[in-house]
Amino acid sequence: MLLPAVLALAALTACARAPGDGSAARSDEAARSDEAATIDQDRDGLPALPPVTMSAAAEPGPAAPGATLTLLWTFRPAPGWHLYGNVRNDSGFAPRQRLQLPPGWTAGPLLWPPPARHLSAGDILDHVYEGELVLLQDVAVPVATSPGRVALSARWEWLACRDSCVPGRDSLSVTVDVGSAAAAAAPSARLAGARAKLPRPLPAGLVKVELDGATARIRRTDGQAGNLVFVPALDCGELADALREGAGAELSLRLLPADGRVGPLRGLLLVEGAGPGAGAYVLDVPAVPWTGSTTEMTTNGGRP
Amino acid sequence: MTTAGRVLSVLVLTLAPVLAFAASPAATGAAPAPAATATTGVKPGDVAPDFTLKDLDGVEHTLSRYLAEGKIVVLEWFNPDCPFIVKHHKLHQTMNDTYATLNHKGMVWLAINSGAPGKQGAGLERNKKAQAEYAMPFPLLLDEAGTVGRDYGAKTTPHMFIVGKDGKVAYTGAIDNDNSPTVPGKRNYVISALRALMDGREVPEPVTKPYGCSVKYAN
Repeated sequence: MLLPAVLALAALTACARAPGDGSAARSDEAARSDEAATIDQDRDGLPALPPVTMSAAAEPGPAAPGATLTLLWTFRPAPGWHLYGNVRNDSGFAPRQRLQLPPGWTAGPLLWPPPARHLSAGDILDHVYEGELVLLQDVAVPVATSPGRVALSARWEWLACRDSCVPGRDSLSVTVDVGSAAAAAAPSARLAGARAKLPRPLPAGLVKVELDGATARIRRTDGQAGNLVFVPALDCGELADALREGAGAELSLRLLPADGRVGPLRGLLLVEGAGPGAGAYVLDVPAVPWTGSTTEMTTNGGRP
Repeated sequence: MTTAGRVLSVLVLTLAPVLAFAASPAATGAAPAPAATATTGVKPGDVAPDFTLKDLDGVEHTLSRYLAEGKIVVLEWFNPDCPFIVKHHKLHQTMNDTYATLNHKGMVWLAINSGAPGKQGAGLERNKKAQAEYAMPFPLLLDEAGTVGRDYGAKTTPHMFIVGKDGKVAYTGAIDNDNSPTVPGKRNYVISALRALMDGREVPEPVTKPYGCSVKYAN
């Protein structure tokens, strides 16, 4: 899935929803319909919206052969419902995609904004999206593409939860006009907004990250107050207690040594509160060999 | 080891002057202070917490009594309205089939609902209806206070635990290897673990990642 994006230019004309496929409420599976019927009754008895609706778009348009366009996959959870981040969670699962591209076309990975920490009773730690979620995905238009309209489609599946959980699915198609390159258009506010939310590389001077033995210590060094939140990636090393140690003014995250190594510490660091440093950053501390106990490590650690 | 240098694994990503670093507890918001305790719940090798819970007919089930009878005990965290329980009890018969496959070998299977009153899938009536609808051949226990669920660290429905005859946790995790709400997995971890236990072998994968809805505990 991690295909490099290629520079280019492209165009969108229409976004069409494939007929006959829909969210959970419209599913043809009896059990799922039962489930949706149970859950989609609001307490006042009025018919409820499906928990999540989706749309798709592509920018810019029209697209020239050899260009790169960006797909925007937009999820709109109804108020109170959340979707799951593509990170380590105790429950749920992140929206997943089965993309269908014409021969020769390639797509980059889905680009996810930072999810928010979400605690439920019973020490359940998840990272979720409430409100509109836009996932971005770059697609390279092959140089040899003939002019005309090309459909890019994807099937999506997700889990939305409120007090209860409802799976949903949809099939979406974006029609791209491949033709001569148009003048470079400015990205839409939606695209610019979605790009601005994406996690960035950690800048110098904002935080100090120190792996002291098996404990990762993270604190702000920009002089500003505000919580730090660590959101572990799916491939992060095992953490002893992300629930209690994953958020605070400074973090001490205990990693569980495994297979002779500690780490990697991989995920997002959310810097909250005041200052220009507030935002979401990519944290990637490589694994280090593990040969001893925490006590030894602490004794020997601490020097720059 | 020869690697004193390795032991000194202090990794500094970003060095910066620590001047007016504000570590005010007031700024920590909802975050509890780092605790010395690890995440609650059990892991393989731990002694399984004993419990007594009532099934839907009011009959008490006590873990230690089953262990005293030499049984292996499977615990399935359950919520009849969770789509993943629907997957394994209605769209597919994963749980009933797993039970039927190995039941003759001295196994007890207990489904446990730790949903608090008023939460999705909770309550005697809803569970009685579900037990009949899903034709569950094993007891369904209510844990409305969530005590047993929290003792075990049950996070999802379903979340599977297996207690060996020695009273120790032998497996925690998923029922199978597909976290889709509709598609059954190709590998049933619980069957593999049970077969290993029954044959006196080591459980090949004692921990897997459970998947499903969150358990609807009391707040």
